[in-house]
Amino acid sequence: MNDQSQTDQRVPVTVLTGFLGTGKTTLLNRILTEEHGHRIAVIENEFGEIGIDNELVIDADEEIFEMNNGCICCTVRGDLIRILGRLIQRRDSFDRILIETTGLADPGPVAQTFFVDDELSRKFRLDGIVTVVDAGHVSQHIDDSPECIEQIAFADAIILNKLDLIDEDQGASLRDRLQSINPAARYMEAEHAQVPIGGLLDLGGFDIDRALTLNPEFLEPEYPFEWGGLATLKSGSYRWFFKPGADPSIDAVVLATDEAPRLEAHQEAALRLFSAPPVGIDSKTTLRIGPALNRISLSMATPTTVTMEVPEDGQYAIFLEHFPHEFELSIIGPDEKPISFDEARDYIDDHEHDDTVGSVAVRIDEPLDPEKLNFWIMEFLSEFGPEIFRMKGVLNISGHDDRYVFQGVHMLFDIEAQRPWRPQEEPKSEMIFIGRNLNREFLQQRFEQCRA
Amino acid sequence: MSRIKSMKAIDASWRCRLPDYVRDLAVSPEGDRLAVADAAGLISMLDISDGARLAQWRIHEQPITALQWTDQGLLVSSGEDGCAKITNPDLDGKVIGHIETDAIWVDDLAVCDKTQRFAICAGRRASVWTATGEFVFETERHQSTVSGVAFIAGTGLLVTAGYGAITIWDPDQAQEPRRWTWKGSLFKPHPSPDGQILASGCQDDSVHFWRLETGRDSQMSGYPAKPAHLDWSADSLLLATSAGHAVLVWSFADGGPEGTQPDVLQVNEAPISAMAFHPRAPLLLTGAEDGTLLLWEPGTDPTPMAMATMIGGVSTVSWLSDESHFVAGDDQGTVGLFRAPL
Repeated sequence: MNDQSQTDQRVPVTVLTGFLGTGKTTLLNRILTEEHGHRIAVIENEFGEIGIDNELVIDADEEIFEMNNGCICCTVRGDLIRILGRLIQRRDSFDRILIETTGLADPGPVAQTFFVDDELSRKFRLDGIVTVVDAGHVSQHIDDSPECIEQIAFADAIILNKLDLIDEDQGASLRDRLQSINPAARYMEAEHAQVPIGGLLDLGGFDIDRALTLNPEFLEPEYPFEWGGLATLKSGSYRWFFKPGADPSIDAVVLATDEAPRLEAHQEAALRLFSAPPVGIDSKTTLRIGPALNRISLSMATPTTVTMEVPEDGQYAIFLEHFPHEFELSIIGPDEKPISFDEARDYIDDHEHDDTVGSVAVRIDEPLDPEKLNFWIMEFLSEFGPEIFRMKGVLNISGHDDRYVFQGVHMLFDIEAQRPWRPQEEPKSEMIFIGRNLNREFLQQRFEQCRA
Repeated sequence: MSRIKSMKAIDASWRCRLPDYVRDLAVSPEGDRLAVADAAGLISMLDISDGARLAQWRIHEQPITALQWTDQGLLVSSGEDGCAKITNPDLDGKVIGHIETDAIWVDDLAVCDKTQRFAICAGRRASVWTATGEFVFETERHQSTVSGVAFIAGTGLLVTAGYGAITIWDPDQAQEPRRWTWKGSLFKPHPSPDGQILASGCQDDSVHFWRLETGRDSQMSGYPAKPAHLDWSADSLLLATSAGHAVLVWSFADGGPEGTQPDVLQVNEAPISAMAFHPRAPLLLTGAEDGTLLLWEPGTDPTPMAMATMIGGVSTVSWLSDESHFVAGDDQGTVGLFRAPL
């Protein structure tokens, strides 16, 4: 529990989203029956199937309407304003609220309701949005359903349910996919919706801290390559074997590491090389090692082999436009064995998902000017708000000893003092944006202009 | 607030502690008893002279949303159990009428001054019933939940409001419904006592009103929060509106309030949670979430003339028909009676 929840008298509200069949109702029934020490009032959607007779379960007839609030137009859940306004009058009978949305619901209106209505924002605190996904089916929904992707993008916690239906590799690639959309969420794995209830509550601890710890690359620029690896190679002839993949070519950069045995020491050089004019490589030519962008032509029908001549023993960094597993790439050395990598990592790839949902984090260490910041956020959101699903952040505001927290939904946001910075903490400002068409350079540049 | 020192502090004539959050108060037609509805579903009957509890009945399974007397001395109540009930206090709280709706809650209730019928709204419909519980009329399904019901004084006509429109219905169906649309979520309708104007707060931080004769409407926007409480003065010349901490009083005298500035009452720190004009004089009683009750003379003095306090946050206030006392209920289950320094 953080300092905020100790002083905050508002009733925490958890929003539960997820498609039909994800296990949302199973989870809800567990929440209502298990001994977890919380008294939870549930606002169920009109098609809800809670199988438990409980006087604190209220059926809501979802009423979404557009509201003009000053210069901002947004959609809210009118039924929630009414229901919560009445529920607060029996405050003694519950200590938290859970709102279940319909399967196809856009979480936006629910979340916005808590920002727009003054009475609700005074008495309730949106603690978190929990999204249940069906591990077996979510991949197909992400591609054809905007609601599915919104539910993932909005989430503070994501429950990967029915993991028993897929194998480990599928599970790993699903997690990668979801994390590329929403790296700020807390991920929980489950079969039959078995997750600790406590893990779904008190999500309001502004998960930016965890997001940045778990995904250090989150604050990095977007790289034009998906994968990089370091290998110690002996001089000699190497053959790269590609199985037919989805692409007619793949770009690659190979650099001698020259006594800098860390991948990160070379990624900036690779970044620059990826925008250089490419050198065409096919089975008759040899891969270039050094400052050049190799564009390897691949056959879409049959395997492709290209050769690489390593001039001397040493460590080499390889950066690839696509993940090597997409082509089942293996690099066979002079000893006829596949080479192994001393270090390898994936890079966040946003270059081929420009119009899909992603996330960007920006950071500055110097204190912010509150007026500049406020002006920038208002200006930014008035233009780009519809494309932004969630925003979270911690802020170091000039002239204030408190750590401020920031959160927002579309065009609406709140900034409030959370607690004093702790002695061992380095005051800094970090913001995470989850939405469509985010431009990191633009955001970072504008964020930096808010320095005091 | 330099003039606050001239403000008079009023002590309660009596206080009474009830089990739960006071949802509504209603003074009997004879002025001798006070009926109190609470969040436990109970109706308590108090002696107005000393606050003694005369009786207590469990009428609803869930919290009560509204409570009113009819002229014949019956009590009509609506609840979060989806029901409306007619109770006879003289038969020890016997429920003589029981109306079940298909909605989860009956949100509001109004008794007609002319016909003694009552109206309830539940979900997207409102209905009208005789004082003994016989069905009279049901509205069409509204496009959203009906937020409140009221009768236009002296006419028997019913008003409903909700998202997108305010509608006037004739329960006897001699006239077609009149509907005025407005793209916004309208709260409970407040017809003026003279039956000339319909006012309603709106979720988008504005107050909207319509002149019944012409249908001409006006919007008063720029409130700092949603105007959750409205009340008319007895002469229909003043409309008090509260939004968060602010109390704004509009004057309908001399062609206003269009083009005029409202009278802004300087209120204490807590948001306003209840409001009632005096039954005859232009005196306004406000109650706030911090338990403060203030008495104002809008248009005369922007600071309060008297103050009293409740134990919990004020949930409802009402004047007695003797015109010199008022009662208040709070969220801790306290009811208090006060004498206004008039």
